[in-house]
Amino acid sequence: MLSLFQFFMKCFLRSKRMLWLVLLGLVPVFYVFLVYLLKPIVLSDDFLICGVFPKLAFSMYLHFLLPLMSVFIGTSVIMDEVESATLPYLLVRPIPRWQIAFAKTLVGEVLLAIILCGSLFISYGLMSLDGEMIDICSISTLMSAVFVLAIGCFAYVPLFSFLGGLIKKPVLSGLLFTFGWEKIVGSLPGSLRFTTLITYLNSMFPFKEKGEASGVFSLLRATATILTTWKAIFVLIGLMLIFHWLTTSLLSWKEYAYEEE
Amino acid sequence: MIINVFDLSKWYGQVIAVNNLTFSVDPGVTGFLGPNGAGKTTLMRMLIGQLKPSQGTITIDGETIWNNHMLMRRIGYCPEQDAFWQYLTGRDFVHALVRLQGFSSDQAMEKAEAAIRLVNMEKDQDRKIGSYSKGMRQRIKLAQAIAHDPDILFLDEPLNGLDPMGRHQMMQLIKELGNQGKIVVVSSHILHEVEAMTDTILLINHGRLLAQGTIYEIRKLIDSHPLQVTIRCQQVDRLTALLMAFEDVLSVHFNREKSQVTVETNQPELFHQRLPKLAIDENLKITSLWSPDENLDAIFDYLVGG
Repeated sequence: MLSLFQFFMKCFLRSKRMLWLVLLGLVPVFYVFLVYLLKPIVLSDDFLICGVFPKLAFSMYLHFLLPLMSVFIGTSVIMDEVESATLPYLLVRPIPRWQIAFAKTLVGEVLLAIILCGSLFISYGLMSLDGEMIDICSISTLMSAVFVLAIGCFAYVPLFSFLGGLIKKPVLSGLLFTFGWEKIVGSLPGSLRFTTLITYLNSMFPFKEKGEASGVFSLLRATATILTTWKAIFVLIGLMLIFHWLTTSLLSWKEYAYEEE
Repeated sequence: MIINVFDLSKWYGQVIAVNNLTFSVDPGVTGFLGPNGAGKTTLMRMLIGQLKPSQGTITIDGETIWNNHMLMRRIGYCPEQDAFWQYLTGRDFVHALVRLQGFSSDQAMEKAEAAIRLVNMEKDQDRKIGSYSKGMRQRIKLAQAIAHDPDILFLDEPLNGLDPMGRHQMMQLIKELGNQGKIVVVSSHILHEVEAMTDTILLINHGRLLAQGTIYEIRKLIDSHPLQVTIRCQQVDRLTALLMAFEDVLSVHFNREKSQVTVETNQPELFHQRLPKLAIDENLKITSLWSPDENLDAIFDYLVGG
């Protein structure tokens, strides 16, 4: 298992895809640099860059980069091996098939967590240079945000890993799921939003979305069950285990065709 | 050590890729021969446990192959596809795959380097596979298949893309592996390639097994198909006259300039028994004798109705 983990780590780290994903993960850092550069020109002197951090963490990291990068990493776990026809090399090793899927998914989760959490730390450090960041986001709050991002990686990646092994063109389906279903249903009041992963992550994230629901939505939202952090963690761990099981089972039983004979 | 295949079929919906195959493979080199699309690769993939048979069984020393990862310790596989993790170097590629066989990093490196030497890739082993020529890629694929010293090797079109020298070297290597007592299954659609590596073949077309055995045995199966024999002789006129008297000789093509005669016989064994006696009795100086028919091309064309 360790040799598989090392092998996939090496493959991920040497692939061009990983370079692009690291650059994508660093977009918020570039954004902070840009704000520093533009501040003297377009922003007032009393504007504190560190004040942007909660919004950046919530919108950019949790709602944009986490699902987007999970789609790219997760769907590649099995799909890449099938599309590049390298899966046969792995399947003729004395290793249970489920371990292949599990090890690669785990590597994807770990790497995504490192990229996103690392990027969040760098953004935090840079923004701290422009004011009293501790007043806006304490270290413990930052650690909570990092924890939620990490658990988000471990929940989303196996979901898309399963999708990547199950269907053709999984990236498109994954994007539709994250930026369609997750966004629309996750923002709806009522119980339906509990069918989305983002709802559980939102409930744990230390920086919440501001704004009041109005009209019928306020009524529906009022009736929604309030999630405790432990409940959300429990559900996410459960989903993570289910998707891991589905992905590993899929590779154990599915036959893959690499080309037409 | 034996591979047994019984009543094996594989179908995808209405399409039958492999149809009721029953055969066994013993140690030595065995060639799967058939045109593209014959079902060789599907058969090979079932034999290595990548595809599940729709019907029938495959056993290696009595153990079924499907989802039997422990059996993989004994198997080496060189796929047909030109598929790699392109960003790895040749050495890393072979080393990583040997590591996955359960060897320590040092042991795996030792085995990887030995296999790389066998396929003559030492000079280029530290280059990325993405920069390799087709022939180099073929060699490194073969290296990963043999590096862990498996008992059973499945090589799917292993000579594709190799230059003539490379082909010769790889054929020698494959023959050597067969001589070591390993089961080596080689698939190819190029007849003379298989013929050069082994005389034990399975002829496959449209997913069916047309024939199995040595080239000579298969030739014997086709007893209704006349055999051509070309004889070069200093007294070619006299030999031609004598041969025309034989009842089993169906036709004679005579070429005085080349001093050779080509006869067509429907009783090859009788013909081969009678010819030496004739040469001695009549004091004929036969300088060469060969059968242009007795090669895989001719047999294959005949069996598939070409």
